Amino acid sequence: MSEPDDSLVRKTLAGDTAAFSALYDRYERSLFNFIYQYVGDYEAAQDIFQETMIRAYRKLPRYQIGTNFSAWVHRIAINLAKDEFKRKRKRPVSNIAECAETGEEADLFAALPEEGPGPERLLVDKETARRVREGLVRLTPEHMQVILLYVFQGMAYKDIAETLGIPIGTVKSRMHYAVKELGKVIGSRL
Amino acid sequence: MRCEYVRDRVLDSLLAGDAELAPGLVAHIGKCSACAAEAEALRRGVECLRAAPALRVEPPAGMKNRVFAALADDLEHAAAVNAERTIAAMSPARRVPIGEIVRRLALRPLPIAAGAAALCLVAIVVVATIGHRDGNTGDLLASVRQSNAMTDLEQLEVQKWVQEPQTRLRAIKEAKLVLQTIITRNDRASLLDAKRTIEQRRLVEAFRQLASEAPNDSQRRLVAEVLQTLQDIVARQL
Repeated sequence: MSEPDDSLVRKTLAGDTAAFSALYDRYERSLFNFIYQYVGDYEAAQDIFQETMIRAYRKLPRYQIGTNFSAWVHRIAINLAKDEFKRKRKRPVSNIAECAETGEEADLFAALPEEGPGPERLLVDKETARRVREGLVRLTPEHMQVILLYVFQGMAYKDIAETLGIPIGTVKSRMHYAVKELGKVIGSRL
Repeated sequence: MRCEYVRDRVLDSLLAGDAELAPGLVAHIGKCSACAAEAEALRRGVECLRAAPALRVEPPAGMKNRVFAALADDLEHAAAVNAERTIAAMSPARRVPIGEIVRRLALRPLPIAAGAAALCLVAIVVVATIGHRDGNTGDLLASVRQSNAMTDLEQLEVQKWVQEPQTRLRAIKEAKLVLQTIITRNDRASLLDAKRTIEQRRLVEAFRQLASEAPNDSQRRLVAEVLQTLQDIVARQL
């Protein structure tokens, strides 16, 4: 059984570098993916992730043992990613067909995997990725956060609520709206 | 059933991966076109969510190194602070008779003969120092000369060091840093390595500088703490 987060935090605060290394290993992949999916830019995700881990370490004395470390570190990531999100996300469009006519299609797909790490790093075919990405890109930051925490971090509603500092009811309603919007964009079966 | 209730239950059911919707939900959807449309959108949305994890990417190689490099100073400082707390939490060093120190070292030979001689030298000098509360250099040197555990060369070294003006605070700080490094590693191999590598010489030199007449009580206590810690380290290795 792996050592609980709080135990590793205690050891880290006591000066144990190996404990922080274990914490880092535990969260590297999932947290990096969360940030990358959120901002849609692989290079930016690296900078934000690095800063997230640095701040997590330096702010560790402020973390309250017994609460939720995962929620705490994700909050740091979200706060750092917010500005990047606003900068990178394009204005959402209401209709994909309209995009093609107005020439906004390029903007809509600007944050798609083509700008990311390259298809060889993805675990799904490019067309599927493009379709899924279409849906995610259209979401507002608040809805994107809920979806990513649910899908990529596997968080339950309760943990999402704790991470974002919102009521569970709000999580449910945002989730409902986001799933519906994704469904509308995707259209036919994947 | 109310539409809002139906739509919430439909989403819950889809996210849970239920093979079929409950009959009541199906019945309502069959009669309500708005709920039917929303149920279909939710179904496609959940399909999208199920495909989303496949978008996972790998963090770049070397990401961890980047983060830890950026935190190098913080990590080192934290380890040093922790070691200081460890030292500060130790009970005040008790005076250990010279004979007892020599006996322990003789009965349990250290891996490195030079280290044993250095420890013996330091222990003798420091204990002699503690015993001389008035900090009299002459008495200290006399004690050193009378010691049978040191060679003539070692005696000369100690004399030279004791007589030279020292920046004692700096010397004491350096010795503490050396100890902190050893303590925070907290494993036998590192302790032994510390004895065998350049840290051994640094450690010996640091304690040679420490083994001087302490000008005040706080420094005397500090030297005593350092010595006690060193003895504990030696005992742990054996």
